[in-house]
Amino acid sequence: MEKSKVITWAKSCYGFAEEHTPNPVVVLAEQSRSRLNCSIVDHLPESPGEGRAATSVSAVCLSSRESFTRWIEAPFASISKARKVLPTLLDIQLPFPLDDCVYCFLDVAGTRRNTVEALAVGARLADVERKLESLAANGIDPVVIDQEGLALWTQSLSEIPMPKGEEDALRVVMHLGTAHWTVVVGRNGRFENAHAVKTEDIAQIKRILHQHLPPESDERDDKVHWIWTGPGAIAEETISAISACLLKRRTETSFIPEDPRAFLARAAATRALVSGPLRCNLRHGRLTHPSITRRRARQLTKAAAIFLASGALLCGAGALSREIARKKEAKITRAFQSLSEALTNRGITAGETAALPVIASQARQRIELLQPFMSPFSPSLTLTLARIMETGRKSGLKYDTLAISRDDLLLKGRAAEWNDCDMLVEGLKNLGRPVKLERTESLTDESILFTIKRGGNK
Amino acid sequence: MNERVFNRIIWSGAAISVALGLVMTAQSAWRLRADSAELRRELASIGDLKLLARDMEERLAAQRVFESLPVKRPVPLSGIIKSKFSDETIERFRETRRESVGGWVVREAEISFKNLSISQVMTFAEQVEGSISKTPNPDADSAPPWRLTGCIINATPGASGMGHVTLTFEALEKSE
Repeated sequence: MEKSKVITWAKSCYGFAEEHTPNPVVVLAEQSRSRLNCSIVDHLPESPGEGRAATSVSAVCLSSRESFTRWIEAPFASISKARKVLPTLLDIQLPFPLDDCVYCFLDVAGTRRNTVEALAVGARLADVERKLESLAANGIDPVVIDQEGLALWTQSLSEIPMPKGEEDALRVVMHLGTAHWTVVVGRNGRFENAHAVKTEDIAQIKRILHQHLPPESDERDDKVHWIWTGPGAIAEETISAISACLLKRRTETSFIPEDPRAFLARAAATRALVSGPLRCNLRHGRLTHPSITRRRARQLTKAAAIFLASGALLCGAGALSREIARKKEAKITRAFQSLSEALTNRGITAGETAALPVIASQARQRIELLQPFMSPFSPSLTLTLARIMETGRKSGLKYDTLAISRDDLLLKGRAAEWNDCDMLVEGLKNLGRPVKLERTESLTDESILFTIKRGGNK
Repeated sequence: MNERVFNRIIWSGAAISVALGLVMTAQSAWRLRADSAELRRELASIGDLKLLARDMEERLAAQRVFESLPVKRPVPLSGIIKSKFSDETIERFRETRRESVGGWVVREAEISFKNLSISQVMTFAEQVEGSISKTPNPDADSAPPWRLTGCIINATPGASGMGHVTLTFEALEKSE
């Protein structure tokens, strides 16, 4: 069963019962953390408005005489399709036009029969307006208008859960009010219907109950749980007298909640504040309480302001990112310009990337022209020459041809043994001149002919 | 101004603001993507240019050392050669010049010897270069030095340690 919350912002709620009497029952339910405290109060609340009163609301119940509850079944498996036709199906069942009513559909769910079932709750607009006028005359301005039958049902399940093993028993909530009595019937935790009857109209109550139970002659024993609430439930003799006139089943159990007189007021207040099943507020549409309208308007304005701020933030972020990118580009442009000026004595902007190869080429040419100035700062070629001569002497090499420059090297000669050149090759590599060595055996004598030239790995 | 008008203004402003923000964000994102690729290319180019600039600066620093020398002509090579070798030994002596930068010219001297011992080659090359050090010493060598840039030795058959030698030297000179 789906759960919902009628009022999401209030921390406390005044629930009313017997509001037509000079001394209505007023219960204040206050939510603190996860607990709900209910207490009877003897004053009427301020009208909901701004300031301190903004977090407190009032809730009353329309009696089952002033309102209706109906289970409606739509011949669709799809809930969304069913929602579209539920009003029409309800309209057919009502003796008055649905357009003259306030209504809502609760507990819309699929069934095993591939249909969709919903509980319709509503009241005629005229009845609700009349109720509001009479409440206003008594200084009561409710934000929530609940339905009596649903309130009694859910509150009874909350305060007196079905005993284990007897969940399938018929539960009958008898609300003994001063103006009328209400009979709420359900089974397996499922609300079936609520009926308003005249006070002490036992015959009507019997007829209602027999609709929900097999005949008394039936041997089956259907368990019945009685929940007695309302001002009339205080006196045990009243309950006994009523019970004696009603069903005589082998298994009947009676429960009386704590402070039954305030039960309905507790139910109204609790249902307005706490999330649960079958929650409704028939004060909607053009009957919506001004405080809710104002609250919605404030929320809309807040949402709009948030969007405005988000948009401004996005604009700002966009502008900022562009500015950061522009600054980075400017920095790179300056670096580019100073480098190109240093290399070519001419400023070139970063956008002239096509000029890069030209700049690089000019720079390399200039570097080439300046290379002779580096000559005295590089190791002298005489060092290499000296190393070649000395190593040749040590290794017993005989050179036939030697040609050496800064970038090139060619050495041809003879060695006595195959490995005699290795020291020379190693020495040249250590001087930063990687070379390649080729050796062959001489055909004329036993010497090894070698050729050393530029190349190889460093 | 009633509440409805006020709400309309707020919502219109919000819608415009969000739309503008989204457009600017999309534009910035697209532009940044394009710009970042361009910036990366330019940064890579700058990296290449920085390397070139570093090489350039090294050479310019070397040029400044030469500019600071009191004498901007190298010692005449012909004088050293004549003092060391007889005319019969010298096969050829040739000098060339090419322009460098800042008024400097590169002088190249190529000397070929008919039959010279290798040890004489080494001694001569070291003498021409002056002291064998990595940097020119302005006090001892106040003129741009000669540097050996090439050496070709072809051994004389049958004469150990002797050969036909061609030495190439290079020096910088600035006419003042």
